[in-house]
Amino acid sequence: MALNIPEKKIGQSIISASGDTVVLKGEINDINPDIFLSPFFDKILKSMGSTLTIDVSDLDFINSSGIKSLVVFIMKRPSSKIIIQSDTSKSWQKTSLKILQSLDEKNIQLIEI
Amino acid sequence: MKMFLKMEMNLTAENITMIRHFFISMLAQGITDEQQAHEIAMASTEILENVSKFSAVGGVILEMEKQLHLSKLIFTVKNVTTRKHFDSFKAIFETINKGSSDKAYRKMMLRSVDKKNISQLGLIRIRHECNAEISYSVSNDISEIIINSKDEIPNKDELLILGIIVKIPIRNPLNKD
Repeated sequence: MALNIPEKKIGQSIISASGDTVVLKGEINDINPDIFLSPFFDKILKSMGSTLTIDVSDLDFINSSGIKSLVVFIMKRPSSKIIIQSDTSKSWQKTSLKILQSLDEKNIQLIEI
Repeated sequence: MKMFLKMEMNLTAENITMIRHFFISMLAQGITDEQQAHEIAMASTEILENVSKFSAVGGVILEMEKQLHLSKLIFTVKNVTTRKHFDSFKAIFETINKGSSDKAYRKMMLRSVDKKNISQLGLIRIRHECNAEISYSVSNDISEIIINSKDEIPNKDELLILGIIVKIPIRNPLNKD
């Protein structure tokens, strides 16, 4: 089933999903971003196919609470492939995403744009 | 270049974000390159968010210092905390300083899955992303940090000042000393 979650802006965070791609943009800087990320990722879990792309290339900042939400999503998902599209000129993407990938190296691929 | 900055404030989500943006602009003007300015600013956010969740009373003191001829930037964040929170902090501090930063970060990520409403990833993220040394200080003299006179101070004897000290090597100083 294709994903279809229209773009939504919460504070400085922008989230959406279409086809097989989840897009996170802006800055995830809420003290507890799980309030909106958890229901968002729950919807993705219900509809995602065997491969999912997570595009964070326009995500300028994410706090550690937001990273935790990503970790929980990745660990909860069924045995599907994840492709993370990143922009390594953003320093957090160069470092933290590699650790995220190491949680399931066989099934998580990092692509730099 | 030499720099010393001290801020005393109460914390809100909005001013934590403003401080991050301010640090990015300020550090990229003469201390380090833009990429590292973002890393250091991230570290300030992580510590201030942590403090905003666990402060027992009052506000926070943030100091940032770059000494002449020393290619390290040091920032210290002090707040008033309870002994219980200090004990939790100490346990996390010990875990994140064991072994390499990538292994410790991975371990903390896996641990975070079962934690409700907290990530406990801030300190290890700073250590890993900024290649930082993290230490702490503790004192009983909370008078240093009480900002709001209207704050009620319950069980004063149970309160401590926790200082978190982060030392970040500057990779590409813009103005070499």
